Amino acid sequence: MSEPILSLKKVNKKIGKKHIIKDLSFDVYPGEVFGFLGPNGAGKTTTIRMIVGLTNITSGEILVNGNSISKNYKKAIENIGAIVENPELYPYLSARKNLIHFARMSNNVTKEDIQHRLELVNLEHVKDEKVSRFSLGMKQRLGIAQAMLHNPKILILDEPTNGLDPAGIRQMRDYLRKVAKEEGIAILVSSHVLSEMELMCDRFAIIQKGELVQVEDVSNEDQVDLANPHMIEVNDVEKAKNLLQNEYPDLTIEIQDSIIRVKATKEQIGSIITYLTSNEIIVYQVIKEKQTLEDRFLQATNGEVS
Amino acid sequence: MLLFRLVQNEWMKLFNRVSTYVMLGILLLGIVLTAVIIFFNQTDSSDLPGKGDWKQNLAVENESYKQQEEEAFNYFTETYAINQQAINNYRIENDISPYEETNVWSYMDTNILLVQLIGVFVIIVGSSIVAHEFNKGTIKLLLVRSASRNQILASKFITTLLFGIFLLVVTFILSFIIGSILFGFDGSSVHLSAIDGEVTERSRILFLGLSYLASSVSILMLTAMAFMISTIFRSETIAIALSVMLLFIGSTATGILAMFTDWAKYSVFANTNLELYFTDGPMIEGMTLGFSIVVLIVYLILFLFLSFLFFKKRDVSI
Repeated sequence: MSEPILSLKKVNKKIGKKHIIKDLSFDVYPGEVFGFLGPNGAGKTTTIRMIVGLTNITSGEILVNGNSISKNYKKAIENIGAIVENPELYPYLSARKNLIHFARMSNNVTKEDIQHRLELVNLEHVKDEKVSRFSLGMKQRLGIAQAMLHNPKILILDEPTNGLDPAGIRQMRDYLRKVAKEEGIAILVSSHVLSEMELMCDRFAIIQKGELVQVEDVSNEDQVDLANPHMIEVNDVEKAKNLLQNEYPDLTIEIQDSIIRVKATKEQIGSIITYLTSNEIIVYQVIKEKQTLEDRFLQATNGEVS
Repeated sequence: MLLFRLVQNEWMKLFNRVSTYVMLGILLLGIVLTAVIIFFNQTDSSDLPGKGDWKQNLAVENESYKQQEEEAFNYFTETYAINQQAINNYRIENDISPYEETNVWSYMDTNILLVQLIGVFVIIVGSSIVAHEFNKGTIKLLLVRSASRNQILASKFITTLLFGIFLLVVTFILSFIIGSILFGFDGSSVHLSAIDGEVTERSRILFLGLSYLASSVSILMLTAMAFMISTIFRSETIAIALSVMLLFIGSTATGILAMFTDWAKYSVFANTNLELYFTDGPMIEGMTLGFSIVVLIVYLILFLFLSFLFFKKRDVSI
C-alpha cells in the first residue's frame, strides 16, 4: 500500500488521573473508508478531537500527510476536512452563506467550488434557505460539503449516520464510497452502529476503553471458516438429523425449526448433501451463516456494551 | 488577508442574527424618543431670561459654589466648584448666556445618554460572540481549519469594536440630521470648560464629537472585560451582568472609593472619563491624561492577554 495519510503512533490521553486513550496506533490510507468502531464512551470522539487538534495529546504522535498535528498544526490541518459530532452549522445563515463562511477561512476556494459542492450534495435547490429549516439529513450533507470545500486529503466524520433515516443513511453511504473511490481521499468514520459500517468501510479498527482491540478488513473470512455453521433446510428434520448423527458422529448438529445447523468444512458439506439426497431427504437450500461485523465486534469486545 | 476575511465572516454572522436588528431598533427608537420629548419641551427665545436676569442668576449660583469650595470634602468637589465659578464669570464678562433655545447641539448633547445604551449592546455582543460559538458547537468548525486560535479570537474582538464604532457613528450622524431638521442651529455654538480656573472656548460640534468618543472609553474597557469573562468562564450571563452593572455604577463606586483613598486612581473607572482632562480637571489630584492612558492600556492588555491565553490553551470538548 502507499504511504498512510493519517498515522497514529502510540497516542495517549490523560485527563487528570483518568487514562482515556492508551497507546493507540493505526494508519489510514488514501482511497479507503476506514471505520473507527467502539461502544459509547470507548474514546472515539476523544481520539478524533486529538486528530483535528481540538484536544492536546498527552503523549505519542499523530501525523497527517507526514505533518505532526501538535508541532506543525497548520500544515497538518490543511489536509483534513472534519465534522466532529453533529453537523453544527450556523442555523441563521443560508446554506450558501454557511459555505461562503467556511470558504473564506481557507485560501483559493472559489464561488464555482461552492456551487459545485452544493450540487454534489444535492442542496442546490435550497441554497438560499436558512439552515434552521433543514432536516438532519440535509444538515449532514451540508456538513460534508463544508468539510470538503478546501479539497482535503482525508475526511473525518464522527458518527455521520446518527439520527438519519434509512434512506439518508444509504445516501450518505453511497456518497462517501463514491468520494473515496473517485477523488481518492481517505475517509475515517466513527460509529457504534455496526451494520452500517459493514456496508461502508473497507477496513476498521475496534477500540474499547481507550485501547485498540483489533484492525481488520471487512471481508476477512479466512479465520472464521469453521466458526460459522451451515444451515441446511430439509423436508424432514428429525430423519435428517438421525441420519447425519450416525454417518458423521464427530460433527455438532443442531435443529432450529425446519433447519439443520452443522459446523463443517466445505468438503464435508458437499458429501453431506449427497448423503441426504441419496437417503430420500429433500434439500431445499444450504446457506453458510456469515459472521457479521456485529458478531466480530462483540467477540472482540467480549460482549461488553460499555 | 486571512484576518480580514475572518472579520468579514463575523460581521456577516452578526448581521444575520435577529438580536442585532433588535438592538438597532431599540437604538433608533431611543433617538426618535429623545427627539419627540425634546420637541414638545422646547425652549423658545421668548422663554429665555433677559440679560439682567441670567447674569443675576449666575451671580447667585456663584455664591453657592463659593460656599461649596470652602466646605469641599475632597479634591474633585473643590476643583469643580472653582471651575464652575470661572465659567460663570466668563459668561458674565463675555455676554454668553447659559440659556439658549433648543437647537441641534443641545439635542445631540442629550443623546450622549444613548452611548450608555450602546455600551450595553456592545457588551452583549462582546460577551456572546465567543460564547455563542461554544453554545452552538460551531466553534469546532472554526478551529479545525488553518486559521490559528489567536486569529479567530482577534477577529471576534475586532468585530465587536467595529460594531461599537458603527453604533456610535450611526447615533452621532442620525442625531445630527434629526436635530438639525427639527431644532435648527440657532443659539450658542461655543462650549465652555475650565481647568484650574482657566476657561477654554471650543466649537460645539468638535466638543460633541469628543464627548461621544470619551464616553466610549469606558465601553471599550468594559467590552474587553466582558470578552475576557466570557472567554474564560464560557458564561455569557455572568459576563453581561457584571459588565453592565459596572457600566452603570463603576464610576460612582470609584468616586466613593476616592473619598477614602488615593489608590482609587488605579481603578479603571477613575481613568475612563478622559473628557475630564479637557473640561473640569481630573477626579483625583495629581492624575494626568498620560497617567490615565497608561492605566487604561495596562488594563486593556491584561484583559486581552488573559482572553487569548485561555482561549489558546483550552481543550475544546463540547
